[in-house]
This record gives sequence, C-alpha cells and structure tokens, in this order.
Amino acid sequence: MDITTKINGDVAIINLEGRLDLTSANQLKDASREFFSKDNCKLVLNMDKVDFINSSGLGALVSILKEVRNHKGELKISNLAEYVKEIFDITQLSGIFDICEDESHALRSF
Amino acid sequence: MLRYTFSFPSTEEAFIISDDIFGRIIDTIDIEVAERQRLKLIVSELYMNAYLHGNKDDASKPIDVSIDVGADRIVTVVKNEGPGLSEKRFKELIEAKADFESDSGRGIRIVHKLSESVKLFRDEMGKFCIESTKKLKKSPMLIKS
Repeated sequence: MDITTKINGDVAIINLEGRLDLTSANQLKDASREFFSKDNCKLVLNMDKVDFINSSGLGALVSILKEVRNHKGELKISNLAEYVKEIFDITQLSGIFDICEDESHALRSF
Repeated sequence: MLRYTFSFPSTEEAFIISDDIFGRIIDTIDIEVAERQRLKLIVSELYMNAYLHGNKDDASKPIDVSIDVGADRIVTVVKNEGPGLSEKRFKELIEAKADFESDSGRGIRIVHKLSESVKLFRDEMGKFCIESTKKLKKSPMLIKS
C-alpha cells in the first residue's frame, strides 16, 4: 500500500492507495500514528485509491478510530469507492465512522 | 465447470503470494467488477481465517483451496487442519450485533453476507472446510481469453 500525507491547516490528510489488508494494516497504523497520537487531532483518511479492503483493513481503521477518540480527536473517511462502502455497510461500520463523500466535504465537516 | 485447486503452507510468504494468485484468477472471470471484488473478498477472508485461526501460522499445515467456476455460481472451499468452528459458534458470530470494540467474527460475517450459502464440514481426511457458494447475476458466464 502507498501512503502519502499532507497537512491542510490543522488537519492531516492521509491518502491511501492499493489494498488495505492484513499485510498493510500495520503499515497504515504506523504511518498515521504521529497524527492520531496528538490530542484533539483532526484526521482525514482519503480512500479514493483503495481498491480492496478486508476485515483486517477494517480492523486497522477501527483501531485508529479508537486512538483518535482516546485523544479527543476527530477522524473522517472520504472518497470511498462504491464497493468499499458496501463492505462498511455490511459490517455495520458505516454508522461508526464519519464517512464523507470527498475530501473537501471532510475538511468542511470539522 | 472450471476448477482451480491450490495447496499453500501456512506462512506469511504464502499468504501474500496466494492473495495475488487468487486475485489474478478471479480477474479472468468475466463478471461485473463489483461481483469480482466481492469474490476476492470471500476468498481472502476464508484464507485468512484458515491461516490465522485454523492452522495458526503452523507452516507444516497446508491450506487447501478450491474454486469451482460454474455457469451460474462460484463455489469456494478452504480447508485447514485446525479445530474448526462449530455450527453453534458460527451462528453466534453471524448473528452477533456489530461490536465496535471487537474484531472477532468480522471476516466470517462478511463471507456470510456476500455468499448465498456458507457450509461448514469435515472432509474425508478430517480437515475442516468452509464452503461459500456465490451465485452470479450474469448467466451464462463467460471466461475471458
């Protein structure tokens, strides 16, 4: 998985590309740790280029969300492909995460 | 009917390779992209379940996979040498309310949701098998050359 980050004001935007699965789950957690370990962090995970996610990938996202909440921060997920959104829906995680249509919506929603 | 069969050791290397192989095979099946992604996910979850919970990363124990591609359905069977999953526990997992705090059972719930049927059984060698049947919306199915 390719992970790139950019900062927009006080928001960290993490762009993900590729498969979010067992082998990339820790990679994502490691890459985002410096952002979610700060109090009141604001984080956007842009998943526009994620073409596959499985239960391990979802587990990594849940783990990051827990950390963000522990630090009284906010996490938004944006740009979900229809297929990926379906996986959030069937695992009932759509109601847990704040899912935004795109990055600009995510930024405005903080 | 086309049948693909594989046997991989329960190692991380094989896990990574197998995912790539399954993906390439499924990409040759001429079905809509979303259906193909769902199928990849079913195989991925079943294989990961066998690797992590069945054989528990024991390289001496193989994970056997068969993918049968029929005219109107795809049947995937993944076998491991672990203790298996009882019907009772399976039912508990798929009927459990989503638990934000727990990752337990999320993979098997995904397989159940995406499949028309899921069966648990032991084969003649005593290996624990999970079988997913996924019906295809498009029939008859064509295989890309």
